[in-house]
Amino acid sequence: MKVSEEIFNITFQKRIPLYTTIEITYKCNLNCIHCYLPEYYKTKKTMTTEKIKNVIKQIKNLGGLYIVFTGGEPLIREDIFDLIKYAKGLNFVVLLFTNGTLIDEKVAQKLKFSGVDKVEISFYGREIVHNSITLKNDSYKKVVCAIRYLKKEGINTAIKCPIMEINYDEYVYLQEFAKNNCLETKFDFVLVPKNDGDSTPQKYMISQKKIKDFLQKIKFNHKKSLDLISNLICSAGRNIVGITADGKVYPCLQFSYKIGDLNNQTFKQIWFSKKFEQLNKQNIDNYVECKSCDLVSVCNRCPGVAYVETKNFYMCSFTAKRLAKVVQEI
Amino acid sequence: MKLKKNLAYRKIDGKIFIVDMKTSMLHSVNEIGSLIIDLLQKNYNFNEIAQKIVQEYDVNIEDVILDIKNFVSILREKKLIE
Repeated sequence: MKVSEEIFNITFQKRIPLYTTIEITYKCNLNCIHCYLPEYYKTKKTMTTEKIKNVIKQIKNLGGLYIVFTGGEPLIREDIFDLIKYAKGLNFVVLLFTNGTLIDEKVAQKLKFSGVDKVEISFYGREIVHNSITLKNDSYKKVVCAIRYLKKEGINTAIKCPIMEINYDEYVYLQEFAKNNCLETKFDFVLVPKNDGDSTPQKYMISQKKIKDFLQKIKFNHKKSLDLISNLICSAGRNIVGITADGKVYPCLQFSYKIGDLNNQTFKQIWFSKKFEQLNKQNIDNYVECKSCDLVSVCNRCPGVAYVETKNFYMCSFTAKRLAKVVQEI
Repeated sequence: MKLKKNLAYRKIDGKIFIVDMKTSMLHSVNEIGSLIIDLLQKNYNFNEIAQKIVQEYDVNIEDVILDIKNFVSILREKKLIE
């Protein structure tokens, strides 16, 4: 068994928060068309530095190993370097998800000094396309500069891009850019509704035909699995957890089923709460529709998206089904 | 002698998992290996580590010292210690 499978299996079975994503702010200097955060979130009160550090310490004590800082735009917070340094001091793998536009030479040096393990930058394509998604004219130039500064500091950097109708043709450019700059690329097709249920972001999703076309071009090879449990039961809330900037705890940031609130509970209390316990009692009998669906072996179903779509995380997710149909045809 | 500063690691279910993001490698160390790493982190020398192991397991101290040296050379080979 690979070590990655070993650690995943142990933490999944023993319910250890291996991978935590913390939104440290809702604020952002861009206005991306597909963003899942509603505009009014930007005025919400967010956790203090000390509060976040305290939560990280609790997660470490429960066996957590990976921390992702995201936002909003996490570099808007001045304490981001302090938070990264703190998590590194507790021997976490620390990842930063950013739009890259606030990374100049000095910030890249500060990131290096903080010990961040990896920076993942949202990058959508060539200048005109990138800027039309972020709705900010200089964002492309800033991202390209940011990547150069990060590389100069020797920081492990990746670019990630949701493939939408508006930037469908850009993946060739991004692949080339990544190759020339020795960067890892991550592409995705799934856009989730906003946290308040507004489905506007999903109108930018690409058609099934284009998804098929893309998957064929990149020679996508989906391993079909006959294991119903691993197909249906997600790790959200088992070894993955999401924390919002205002201190709410969710099984995952895409799974907007609130489990607890760090403003009046400790992380440990929430992690071992009845609500989490009930969520983890799920078994395949709960998935009435999926059990009898012939797409189950190729479906990459997300309970969070199913929950937003149907208000029931056991129901079929039309977004996942749409993708599964394409994968089955390949 | 300690794990390199840039490494991330955690003891989970009795085993230490070490992540080396520079090489994108994930390593797992068994229970005794984890004990050795724990003690190295606390600045114990080989003899002191061997004493601790002998207290917990029914083993010969000379063999243990040899095993510790072999284990440490593997860690060094994988560039996990400094």
